Amino acid sequence: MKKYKILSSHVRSTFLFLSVFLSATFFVQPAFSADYCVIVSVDNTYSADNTAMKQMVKRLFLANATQWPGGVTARVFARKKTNPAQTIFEKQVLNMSTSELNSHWARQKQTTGATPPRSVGSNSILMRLMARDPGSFSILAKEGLGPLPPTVKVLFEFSD
Amino acid sequence: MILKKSVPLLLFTSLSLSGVGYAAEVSDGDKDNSKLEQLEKKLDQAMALINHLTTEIEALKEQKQALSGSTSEDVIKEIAVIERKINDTSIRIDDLEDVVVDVDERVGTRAVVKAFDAKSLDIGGFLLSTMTAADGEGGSSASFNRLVFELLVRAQLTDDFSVFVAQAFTREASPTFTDPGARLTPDFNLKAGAPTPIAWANYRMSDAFNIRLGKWVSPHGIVNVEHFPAILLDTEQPQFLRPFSGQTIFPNFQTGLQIHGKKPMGAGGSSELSYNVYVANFSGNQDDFNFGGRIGYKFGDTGFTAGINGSIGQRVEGIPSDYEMAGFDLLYDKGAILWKSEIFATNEENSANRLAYYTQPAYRINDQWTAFYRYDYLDLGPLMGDRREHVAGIVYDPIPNVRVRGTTTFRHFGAASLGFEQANVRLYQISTTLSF
Repeated sequence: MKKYKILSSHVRSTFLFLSVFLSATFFVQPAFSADYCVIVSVDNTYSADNTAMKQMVKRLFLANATQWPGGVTARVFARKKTNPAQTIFEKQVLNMSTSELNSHWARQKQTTGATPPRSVGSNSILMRLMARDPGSFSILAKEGLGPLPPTVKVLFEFSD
Repeated sequence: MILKKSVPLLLFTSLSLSGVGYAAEVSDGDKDNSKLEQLEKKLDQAMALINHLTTEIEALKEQKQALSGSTSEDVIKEIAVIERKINDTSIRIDDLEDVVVDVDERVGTRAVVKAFDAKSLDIGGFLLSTMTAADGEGGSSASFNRLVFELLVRAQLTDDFSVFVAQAFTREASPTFTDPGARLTPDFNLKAGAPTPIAWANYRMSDAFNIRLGKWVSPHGIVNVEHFPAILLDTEQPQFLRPFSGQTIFPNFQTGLQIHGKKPMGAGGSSELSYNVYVANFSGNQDDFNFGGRIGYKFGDTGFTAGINGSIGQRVEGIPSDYEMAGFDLLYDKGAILWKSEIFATNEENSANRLAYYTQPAYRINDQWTAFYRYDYLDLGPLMGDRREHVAGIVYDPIPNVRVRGTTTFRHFGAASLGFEQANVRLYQISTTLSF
């Protein structure tokens, strides 16, 4: 009887271990971080689900809206065309090709005078610019970035 | 000891460069040039310091090797820290040099344009040229008939106040017909002018509530709102919008007060509700007000946007000529397909009721080529008969700011009660629009 009890406790332990192991392997999504992020001023209190945040950022970037919810005027800093963060942002968040974007800005310029956002090359200069404006936002590639300065925070992340 | 003295120097250099980076923002004329010179001097000093530090580190390394076997872990770590800081400083100097070069390329030794008082001032515009040939049943004519230069200026006074002005300089000879029925014998008659089609000031209380005062494009439909040749597939707008600055169905431009706004709707805010309401005068009737508006809805990422339009007003000063207008517009813009459709009808007090509609599907062959077709119908009543147009065109954008078009139009004039028979005319046009 004792032998049986020892055996059954071994079996239980093994079964439990296998269950946990298999669950972790098959049912838990492997955690990997996205390659790019949209950053905002640390004073920006806007928060919503991921889909809503992407739509909000898209509207502000395209000048279809000019204010964050709450009334703070948005200030958009794009990145240079050679920066992969910018091209992936256009593809994944704006969901627009280069020609669609050009058509959009042509229409905006001709009907309201709105122009594309200013492009910034250097990360360090971008951080300085963003520190001046609580409504500012921009795009960063996370590779080789290091810790963010205390004046900005990540709003959401995205990948190719 | 040497290393410990070098670290404060390095920190001092970093702080100096930070101050330089701050000062690298472009502001005004002469100050920009002297700031550029200061930046360049400081960059030279920083590079000299880096070379000096590099030399010191090399000397330290040689010293280290000479001390056989007796390596200090702390010294190695300090060297690594200094090397990292030098590397970071080099990267920041590269970034600053890029900014200085960019600014120097744009400004150089030239004077900088300044606004008296504005947060920003943007200037743009376009140049439109057309060559048209018209082949009617009673004759033919061809001409380089249109040259329009339009300057667009936007001043952002504050976050909430802005001004937008479009000043045109036109040399135009739209195709006309010299026969009594205006349908057989095409001709081009030159008219030159400098109209100001748009000049408004806008106050933004929020994205959902703006007040616009001045002269603006009547916010009806699709093509009238877009109206600038740089973004239209065809420089000849649909028939109900001709003549330019006229009021065939509704006045194309009006002067008055407009309230407008947009609000995100739906799941995630991907849809959008927009509205415009106005009270204004048409330039042809300064005594009587027109009232009108549009409600539009963009259906998420489906590509569809629909609008409902309405207005009331009086066409001519001093004589009974009230009208009521209702209309609907539908836009599909997604992927390769761009399809615009509009329909408007009026109830006229003192003339025949009017009906106009068109549908214009377009296919984006690739990023540079677009093909389109338009069926266009206009009925101004039995006096003049109705008119139908079939327009086919090809558009080529070699670069985003240049548009070259070729169009062919078949226009049919219906028989008119004044005794004018039906007639056909063909028009061929090549046009270019360069925008900046």
